[in-house]
Amino acid sequence: MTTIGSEQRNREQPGQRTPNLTSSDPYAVLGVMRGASLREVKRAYFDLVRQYPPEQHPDVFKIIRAAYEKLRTAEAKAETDLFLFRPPSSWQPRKRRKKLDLQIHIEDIVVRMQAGSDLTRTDFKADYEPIKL
Amino acid sequence: MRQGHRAFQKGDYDRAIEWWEKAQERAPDKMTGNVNSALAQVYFRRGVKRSYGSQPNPSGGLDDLRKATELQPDNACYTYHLGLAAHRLNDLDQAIEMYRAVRRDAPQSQFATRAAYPLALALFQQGKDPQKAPVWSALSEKEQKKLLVARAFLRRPYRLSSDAPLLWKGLAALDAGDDAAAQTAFQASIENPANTDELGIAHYYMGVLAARNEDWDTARWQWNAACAAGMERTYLHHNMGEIYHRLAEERLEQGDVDGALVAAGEARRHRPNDKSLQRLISHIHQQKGYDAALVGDWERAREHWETAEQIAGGSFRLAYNLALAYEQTEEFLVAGEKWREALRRRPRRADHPDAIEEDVVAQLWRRVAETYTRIGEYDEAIQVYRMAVKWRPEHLETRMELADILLNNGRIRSAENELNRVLEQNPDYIPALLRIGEVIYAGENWWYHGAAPKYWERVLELDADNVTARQLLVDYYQNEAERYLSWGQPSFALQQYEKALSYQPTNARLLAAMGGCQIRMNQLESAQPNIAQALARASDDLAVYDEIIHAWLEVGNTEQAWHVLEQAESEATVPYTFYIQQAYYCIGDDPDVARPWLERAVEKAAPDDPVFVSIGEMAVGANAWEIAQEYLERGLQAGIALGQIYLMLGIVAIHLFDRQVAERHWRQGEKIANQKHDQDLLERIRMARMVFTEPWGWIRAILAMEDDDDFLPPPGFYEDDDSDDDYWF
Repeated sequence: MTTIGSEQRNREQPGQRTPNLTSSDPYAVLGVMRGASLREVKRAYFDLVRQYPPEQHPDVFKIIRAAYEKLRTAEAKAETDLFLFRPPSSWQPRKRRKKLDLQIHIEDIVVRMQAGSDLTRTDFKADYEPIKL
Repeated sequence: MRQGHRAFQKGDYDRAIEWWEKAQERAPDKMTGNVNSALAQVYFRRGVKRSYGSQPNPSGGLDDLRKATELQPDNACYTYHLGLAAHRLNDLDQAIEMYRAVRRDAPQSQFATRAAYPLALALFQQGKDPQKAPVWSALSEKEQKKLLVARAFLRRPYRLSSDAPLLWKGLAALDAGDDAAAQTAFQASIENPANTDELGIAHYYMGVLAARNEDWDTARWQWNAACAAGMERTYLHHNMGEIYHRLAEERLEQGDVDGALVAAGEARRHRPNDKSLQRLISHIHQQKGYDAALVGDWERAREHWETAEQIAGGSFRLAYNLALAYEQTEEFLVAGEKWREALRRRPRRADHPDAIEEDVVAQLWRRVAETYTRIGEYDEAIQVYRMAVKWRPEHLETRMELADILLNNGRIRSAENELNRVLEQNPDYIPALLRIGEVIYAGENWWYHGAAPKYWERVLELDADNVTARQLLVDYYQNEAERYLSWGQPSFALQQYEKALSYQPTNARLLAAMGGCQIRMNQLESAQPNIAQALARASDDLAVYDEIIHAWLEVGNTEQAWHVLEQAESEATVPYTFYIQQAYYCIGDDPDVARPWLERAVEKAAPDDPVFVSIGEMAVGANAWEIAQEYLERGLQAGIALGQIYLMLGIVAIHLFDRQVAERHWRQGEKIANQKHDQDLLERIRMARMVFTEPWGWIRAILAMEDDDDFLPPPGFYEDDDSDDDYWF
C-alpha cells in the first residue's frame, strides 16, 4: 500500500526533470540514467510532456518524443543500448605511485668542479690538425 | 680524393668522409697513410662538431671519435677527446681508460697534462679519493684545492670547509636535515649564482626541500625554474613527470577533466614513454570524447577518441565509439573498418565488463554490413553479412538482408540459394516467400517464371491480408495478360486477367482490361458488364477509359472509341496527352484514323502546351514521318518549344532522306538552345547528329546514353504503362 501511495503522489506531483535536449544520448535527453528501465523511461517521458506541453513547446516535444521512441519498447531499447556510445571504463589509479627522487646527486657537485676545464669547453678548433694528402 | 678534400675544406665533413671512404673502397692499394690520417682527422672534427656543436648529437660524436681513434690509435688528441666525450656522457669507466691511455702512451704531450684533472674528477665521481691516485701529483695547486674541498662529499656526514661554495653548503645542510640552513644557502645561490648550471641546481634542491615537506605547488614551481635555467637531469625529468602525473590524477578525481589533461600533458613532456601516464592521458581523451558525443559534437568526439587511440593503443570500447563517430560524420568506409576492429578486439573472457555474447557479435557484423551497403561496397557487405549469418544462422532477418544485397548486386542465383536456406529453416517465413517469388520472376529463365506465384499464394494462405503478396500476384497475371495481348491472343489474356481479378476483385482497371479482351474476341455481351462495372467503380480513372478505347480502336470501331471518350470527358479532366496516346494505338494502321484524335489534342491543349512536340515525338516513335512533319511544322507556326521542334524535324528529315534539311533544322535548334543556354537540348541535338549521321554513331550514342536518360521521350510514352499508379498523363 505504501508503494502504491508513493507512486500516486509521484503521478500527482511529477518532479521537475532536467532534460539534456542537445544530447545525442536518448537517456540524457529524457533526464534518466543510462540503462534506466522501461518504466522509468516512460515516467520520465510523461513528466517531460507535462513539463513541456507539445502545444507550447513543439520543438522540445519533438526531441523528447524522438528520444522516447528510441527507448519505448524492449526491442528498441535493446537496439539503442547496443549502439550507444560508451563511457570510458572507470578510471583505476595506479596501484603504486613512482617514488620521487629526493636524493643529493654527486653530479650536481661535480658541475662546479668542471667549470673552467675541458669538460665544459665547446671550442676545440685549437686541437685540429692540418691534413696532408 | 679531390672531391673529398674540397668538401673537407668547406667544412662539409659528411661529404668528405663519403668521398674518401668510397675512394678507399675502390682502390685500397693506392691509399697512402696520409689518406688514413686525413680520414681520422675528419672523423675527429665531425665528432667534436657533433658533440659540442649547435645541434648536438653526443652519441654520434662519440662514435666518430671512436672511429678516429681506431684509425689512428696512437693519436693522443683523439684518445683524449674520446675520453672527454665519454666523460660528458657519464661513461666514467671509458673516460678513465682513455685518460690513462693518453697519460701512459704520450706522457709528454699537452693532452697528458690536460687529461690529469678530468681523470681525477672522474675518479672522484666514482667515489674514489683522487688524492690517493697517481694522477694527484700532476694536478695544479688550484685543482688539488678544489678536489680537497669536494672530498667532503665522499663520506657522510658531509663536513665542508668554510671556503666551500655556498651551493655545496646547502647540499650538506640538506643531507644533514637542516632544512632552514639548506634553504638559506640555496636561496643565496639563486640570488647570486656562479652560472646558470648552479642556478638550475639551486632551484632543483629548493624543489627537493619543498617535496620533502609535501609542498607540491612549491616543488613544481622550483623544478620548473630549474628546467627554465637549462638543467637537464634524468632525476629532474623523473620528478617533474611524477609530480605532474599525480596532479593530473588528483584533478581527474575532482572531475576537472581539462585540468587533468593539462597536467598530464606536462607530465608527458618529461616522461614521454611512461605507460601508466599514456593510459591516463588516453583515459582523459576518452572522457572528453564521451562528453563531446553527449552534446552531439561528433567531430570533436572523434578527435579525442583518435588521440586516445594514438597515445595508448586501441581497445574494443574505443573502436566501438570511433565506429559510431565515423558513422555520425558519414565516413562509412572508416566506420566499417572501425566496427571490424571492435569485433577483432572484443574481449574473449566472459567475465570482462565489455564481453559480448554471440548474438551481439552477429548484430555487430550486421551493422558492419549495413555500413558497407550504405556506401555501395557490396562485395565487402556480402562478405560481412556472411560473417553475421555464421554467428547467428537462425536469425532470418540477417539472412534476408544478405539475400537482398546479393540480389541488388545482380547475384540472383546466390540470392535464391540464400532464400532457399531461409525457407529450409522456416518454410512459412513470409518475407522470404515474397522475395523468392520476385527473384524467380526477375530471373533469366522465363520457363521458370511460372513458379513464382506459388510462393505468393502460400503467403496468402498464411496471411490472407498480405497486401504485398496480393499485389505481386495481380502484377504477375497482368503482365502475363499483356504479353498474350501483344501476341494477339486475347482469350489467353482474359484468363490471366481473370486470375488477377481473383486477387483484387474490385480492381476497375482489371475489369476494364477484361472487357477490352472480350471486345477483341467480339464477345460484346460479355464485355458489357465488365466495362459497366469498371466504370461504376472508377468513373474518373482515365486508365480505365484507356483500356476500353484501346480495345475498340484495335478492332477498328472508331465510333465506339469516340463514344467512350465522350464518357471520359464528361467524368474527368482529360489532358491533351491522352488523345495523343489514343492516336498512337491507331496511327500505324491508318494515319487518317489517328488524325481526329490528334486534332482533339491540339484543340484541348493550353496555348503554352508543347502539343506539337508531343505529337511529333509520338509520330516519330510510330514511324509516321509525314504526320510528324506536318504537326511539327504547325508547331513552328505556333512558336512553342521551337528548339525541340527543330530537333525532331531534323530527325524526320533524316528519315525522309534529306540530310541537308536535317542539318539546317539542327543548326536552328542549336541557335535557339544557345540563346536560351539550354545545355540539355544542345546535348540531345549532338546525340541525334551522332546517331543519325555518323557511321556507328548509334553504338556511341548508346554508350553515351548510359548516363543520360533524357534524349528520347520518357519510357512508356508510346506504350501502356505497367504501373497502376504512375499513369503517364
